[in-house]
Amino acid sequence: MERVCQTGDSTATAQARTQALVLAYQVKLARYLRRMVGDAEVALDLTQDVFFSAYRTLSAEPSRELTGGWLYRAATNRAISFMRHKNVLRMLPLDRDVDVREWRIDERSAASVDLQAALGRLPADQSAALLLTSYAGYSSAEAAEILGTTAEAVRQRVCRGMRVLRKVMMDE
Amino acid sequence: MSDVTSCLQAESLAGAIALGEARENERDAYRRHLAGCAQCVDDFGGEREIERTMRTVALARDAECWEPDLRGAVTQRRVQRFPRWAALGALAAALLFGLWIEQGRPPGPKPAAQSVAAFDARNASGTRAIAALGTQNAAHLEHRAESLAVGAAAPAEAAEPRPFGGEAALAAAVQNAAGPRASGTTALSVRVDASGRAVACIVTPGSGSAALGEAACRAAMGARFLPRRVDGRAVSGEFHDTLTLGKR
Repeated sequence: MERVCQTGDSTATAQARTQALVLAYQVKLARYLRRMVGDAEVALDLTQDVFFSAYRTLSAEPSRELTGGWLYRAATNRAISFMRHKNVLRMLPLDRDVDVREWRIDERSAASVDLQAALGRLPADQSAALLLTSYAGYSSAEAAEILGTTAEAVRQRVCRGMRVLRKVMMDE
Repeated sequence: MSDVTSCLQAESLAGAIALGEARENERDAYRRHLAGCAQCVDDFGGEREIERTMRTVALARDAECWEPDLRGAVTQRRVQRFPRWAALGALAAALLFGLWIEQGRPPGPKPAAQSVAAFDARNASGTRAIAALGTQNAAHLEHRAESLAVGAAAPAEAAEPRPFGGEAALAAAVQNAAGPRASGTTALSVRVDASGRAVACIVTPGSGSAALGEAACRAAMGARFLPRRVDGRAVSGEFHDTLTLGKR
């Protein structure tokens, strides 16, 4: 009896803590993921996936402290593995046109469309470096920790991302 | 001159500049590298060009208006966890029904992606999430301010001469000399004596048109500089800069 109550308690705690994370990070993570994968539906799905795994982690280890960095790491890994699978769908002729139209409707901002066009041409690790820093606000050292690399490598990836973005802006 | 910066190092310096993390000596090293490397001038551009490019990311972020609300969805998800292929299905659906979505999706479940429709908050009115968003933005700005402060904490000793009135004043003078329609990027090195007078100007070969380079040097030779200082004493030094005219 005692035991059952305890389990119920820790489940409730995990749920409450997950909800707090959802409240604090859902918009940030969903936007980050949408930039990464270029699609709102997929971004929502992956965002939920991240929170679900946060929930499972908190249920299993109630004392665990989950930071924003933890969530971004989980999100990045999911986005990268999704992009690998997505290449199969790249063959669909509609792909790019639909993407660009959707972005215009959502944001109506040239900057937004430029950024998305650049991200579409970048490998996922470079997109992640660019977005984690100048978009999500992490320093290169913090982004390096999230991506499991060095600050130096993050800066180089940011530079490559910046180059492509610059090209997109000059071409239009 | 301790000019051993490789293009790979320049790449990471450009990245640091892009992130607002570069210290003054790193910016100097970057300028020096560009002064001798037309390829990097072309590939990365000068500091202000990098900063202008990166402003696009900030603008895109600030223009973002998508505010999904997933509260409650995570616990729902425990019951209704769907496999990876469903995500791909959702993407295919998004692609195939893209046109329809564009014209404003009517309420009701979405064909072929029912599992996604349950969580879809695309049309959620933004008001609910605004409070949370406001604090997020504040946190973000704080964060930026922090990293900018780190950049500003660099040593104050001027390692190189600076144009009087800043690089922007020199850029304006160059634009003036080249004419209002001139555009392009050029990298130049200006030798500045201890009194702050420009005594020589060299354009990095291959960067920008000859006419632009000539105009840039004409303007630089006529400009006033704050000389390089070592231990408080003015000495001669070299100013490096990459100017981009006419774009945007």
